[in-house]
Amino acid sequence: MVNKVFKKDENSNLQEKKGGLKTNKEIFIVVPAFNEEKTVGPIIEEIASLNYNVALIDDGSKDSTYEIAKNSQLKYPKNIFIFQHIINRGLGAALKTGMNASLLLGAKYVVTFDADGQHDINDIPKVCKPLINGETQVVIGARPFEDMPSSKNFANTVMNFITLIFYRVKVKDSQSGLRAFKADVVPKLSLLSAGYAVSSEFIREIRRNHLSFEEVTITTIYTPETQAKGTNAIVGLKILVKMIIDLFR
Amino acid sequence: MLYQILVIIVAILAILLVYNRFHAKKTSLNTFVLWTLLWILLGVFAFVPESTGFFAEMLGIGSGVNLILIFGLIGAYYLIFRVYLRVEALDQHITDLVRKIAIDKEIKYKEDFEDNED
Repeated sequence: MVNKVFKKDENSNLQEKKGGLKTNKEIFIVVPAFNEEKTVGPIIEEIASLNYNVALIDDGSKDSTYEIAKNSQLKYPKNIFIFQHIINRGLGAALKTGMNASLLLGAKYVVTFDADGQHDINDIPKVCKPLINGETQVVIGARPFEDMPSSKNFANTVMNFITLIFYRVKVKDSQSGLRAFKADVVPKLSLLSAGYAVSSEFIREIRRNHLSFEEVTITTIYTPETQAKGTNAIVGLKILVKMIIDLFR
Repeated sequence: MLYQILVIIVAILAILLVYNRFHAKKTSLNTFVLWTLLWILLGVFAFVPESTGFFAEMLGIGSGVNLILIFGLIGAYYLIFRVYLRVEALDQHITDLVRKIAIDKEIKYKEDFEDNED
């Protein structure tokens, strides 16, 4: 009997060495998706194949994002959860749905991950490591700006500056979509903005709740699809207006 | 004067409308009283234009017309602000609803799935 227990322990240790399979089950990857039929399937399947949990939020997509995700769910029924917003509510709303749901499902660590294929799945362990080691409460994946096309580089630099002025937090990449949180800090985050401004709101909430955070450099894959969305000048302006309105709340 | 008659007719119609809504329990007493007072005041101003001068002088505003314009603008901005807050609250409620539907549906799906597996 004693022997058996010992053996089991040894096994789980081995599993952890193999690639942290046991810990991966406690990690929920929140993937917000709006009209991402081209990329969503392979991304969530690849994440699920590494034994992470996936909380995909279909934010009222008009294309077949939901159907494709449902298909992937049949392949990994235990790892993939799909939450369908029946109407589009924006990035912020989708992230909140995913994070709340992950907590309900017993997540210990929550990672947000874009569905457009701009993040590298190998970065997930990198952003989780400081959390698992207990070094910090929040990790932000920072995209190296020098790799960005110049228009994006400019827009993101401006957003970092605006975030610094409004929220007094200096970060390398305020608009990054890859972030990791310890489960116990998630309920403290008060995210009001439904749209893209949510990225800056995370930074504000880190400061407001005095959370410790670390920045980890991540790889960014720039394809024509990922170019079309995200922070461009117009989105940047909208976020700025929203931040000013929020000041008067 | 034609405008006096028009303002009075509009005011009476508006008060009747608000009263109707109040009677059907679609607006609160506060809203009803506020709108009725506002329209009565406007009616008085239209019928006795000189009366605005009295209020204007009392508040230190040059003339009666300015008084109406200033208060009209402030009132309109206040209403826009109220509507803005209301729309935002509604927006938030819709999001909460959409979120609840999404989470409940998936959790039910998973429960059914596990039941079938057993």
